[in-house]
Amino acid sequence: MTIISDMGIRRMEGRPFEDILDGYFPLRESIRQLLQRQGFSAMWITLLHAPFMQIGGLAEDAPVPLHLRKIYSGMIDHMLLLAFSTPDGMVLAGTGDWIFVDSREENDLFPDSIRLGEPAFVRGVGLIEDCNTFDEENDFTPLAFLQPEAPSPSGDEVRLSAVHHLGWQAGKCFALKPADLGIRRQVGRDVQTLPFGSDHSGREASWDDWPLPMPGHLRPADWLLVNASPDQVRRESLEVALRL
Amino acid sequence: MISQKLNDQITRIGPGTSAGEVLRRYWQPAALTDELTEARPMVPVNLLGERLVLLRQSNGEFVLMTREACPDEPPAYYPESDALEVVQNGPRYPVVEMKGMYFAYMGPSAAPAFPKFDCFRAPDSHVFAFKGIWECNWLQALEVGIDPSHASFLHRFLQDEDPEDSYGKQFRDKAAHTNMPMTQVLREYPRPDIEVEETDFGLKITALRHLENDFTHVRVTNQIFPEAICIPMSREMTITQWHVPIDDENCYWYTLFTSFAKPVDKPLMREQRLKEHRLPDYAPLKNRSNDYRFDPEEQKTLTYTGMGLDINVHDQWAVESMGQIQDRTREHLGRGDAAIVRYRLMLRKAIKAVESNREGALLMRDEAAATIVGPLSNDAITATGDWKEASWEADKQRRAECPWDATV
Repeated sequence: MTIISDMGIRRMEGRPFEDILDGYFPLRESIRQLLQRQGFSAMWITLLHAPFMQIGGLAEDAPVPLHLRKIYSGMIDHMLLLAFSTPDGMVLAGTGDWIFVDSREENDLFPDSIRLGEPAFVRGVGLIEDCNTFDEENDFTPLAFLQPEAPSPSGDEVRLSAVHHLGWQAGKCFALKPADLGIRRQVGRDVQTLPFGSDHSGREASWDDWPLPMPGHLRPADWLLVNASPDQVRRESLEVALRL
Repeated sequence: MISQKLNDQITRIGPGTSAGEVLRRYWQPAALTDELTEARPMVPVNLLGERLVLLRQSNGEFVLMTREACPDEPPAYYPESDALEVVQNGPRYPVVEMKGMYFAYMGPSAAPAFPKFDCFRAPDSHVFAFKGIWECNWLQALEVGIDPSHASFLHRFLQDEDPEDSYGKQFRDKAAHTNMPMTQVLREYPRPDIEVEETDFGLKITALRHLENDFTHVRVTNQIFPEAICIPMSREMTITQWHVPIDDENCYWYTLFTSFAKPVDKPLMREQRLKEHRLPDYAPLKNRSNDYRFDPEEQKTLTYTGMGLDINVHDQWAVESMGQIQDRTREHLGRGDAAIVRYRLMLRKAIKAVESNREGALLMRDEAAATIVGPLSNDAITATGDWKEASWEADKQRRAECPWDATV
């Protein structure tokens, strides 16, 4: 059975990347600045073990005070986030788990006005502006969206078939699913299989155990494929792709 | 700017603490081999909040055992052997002798293998060990060592020494193959670009100082998990330095100086360092009680700190002046602190792994640890576009010319 046909592949411009997400601003603002700094129209990022703080009465656009008097703090255990720019600003969606150390707040929706207590390392994949009008004359394809024809293929089947169609030597693929807005709590998942969250455990991120949230404004696609061909000209992108 | 509870989680190291349980899963420097002598057959060891004694058993093996201790003992208390009383039914921690140091394992299950780092592969003739006390928490002591920018300020020399007189001293050599003293590079290019990369032993930290005429100075340092660094000292030597907790508020730095070409002049290096430390506890002579012998005239003319030419004293002042445990509820890290951010992520991952019984997720705890070589740790000056390759080439050349097997 055919798993992928040319009709089911959409080549995209973008790159895997690593960066430091600023602390002390509201999380939403730090992510907006990251999106802008990297020149992406959309990005998926993973955030691990990041301390945060919630300062009572501090306006969102106020600078963080030098001396904290009243603070509720906590730790993001993990988050898998999608951010994409819209004419009105930015939309943020994703899942994760977190704890408040100093209070009993148990909200299942993470307030994105919360500020990180430190800058945080993030790894992910970003799409460049105008990615829907990717220049097909370009002979290098860093990313692709895939819609398999076969029902429910495995990640390995998708990857092998798509790599063949794209003329790549190797690729990494990640399942996608429609996103709910906001950052929602998701507990009980094996963080070792979290995409982009390499922890030297010897296990690769699962192809589909933990699907990436999918921006609704893009045409539907079921899988994201990242070029991991060893002979590609973008050496830095390759190094990051291998760590996804 | 993290809460006190989260600061405690990454700083406190006593038995049963989060960070302490991570550190206990790795070999810890416990004493210098110079300390255990015929005249002193038992050595007090104050390590990870425990009061211990190092001794050689009748079978010839070394061991750390608990000793009787008063609650009001000074942190680095160092009584004579005949004043040490062993607690016979206490824990016994295995000890091995390596390159002038005794390493102890205080964790559960089997101890991990030693990696084949250069400091462990070099013959004894090419390695020199020393230590000193800092009166502060181990984490702030480590974090200054993984901040590549600090050297341009804290270790700024306003005049350059003759590099020919640089033996055994940090930052006093020429930069790479040029005639430019390292002190000049650090002084004139204080804002490096910093790249941080995860490795199988910790972090590789590259500081890029872009010079004139499209040349770049590349300095590669490393964080070796959980609490060591490996940095270049000169073209000839590297420094591998552990920041080992005595307790929550004091630590020893233990350093292995490793020479790639000639044997180390151990008497000279020990003499240089004993001018700055007292025995038997290796406490620094310049310290908080005497304002680190700060000299305002020297600060005007010679050094940024006015505290002499020994860079260890500069670091000691910087980390001790933050308080015995740095108050991270008031700190503001930036993106220039990339290595510190990445290190804390590794530490928190390790804490989570230990707490959730996922020991396999810890770095260097499996058999593969014994195959780890290197790390690359050097200075190079190169055309800006080729810096990565040039750094590898400089390392390759030094290893090829090395009389001992330093191949990677």
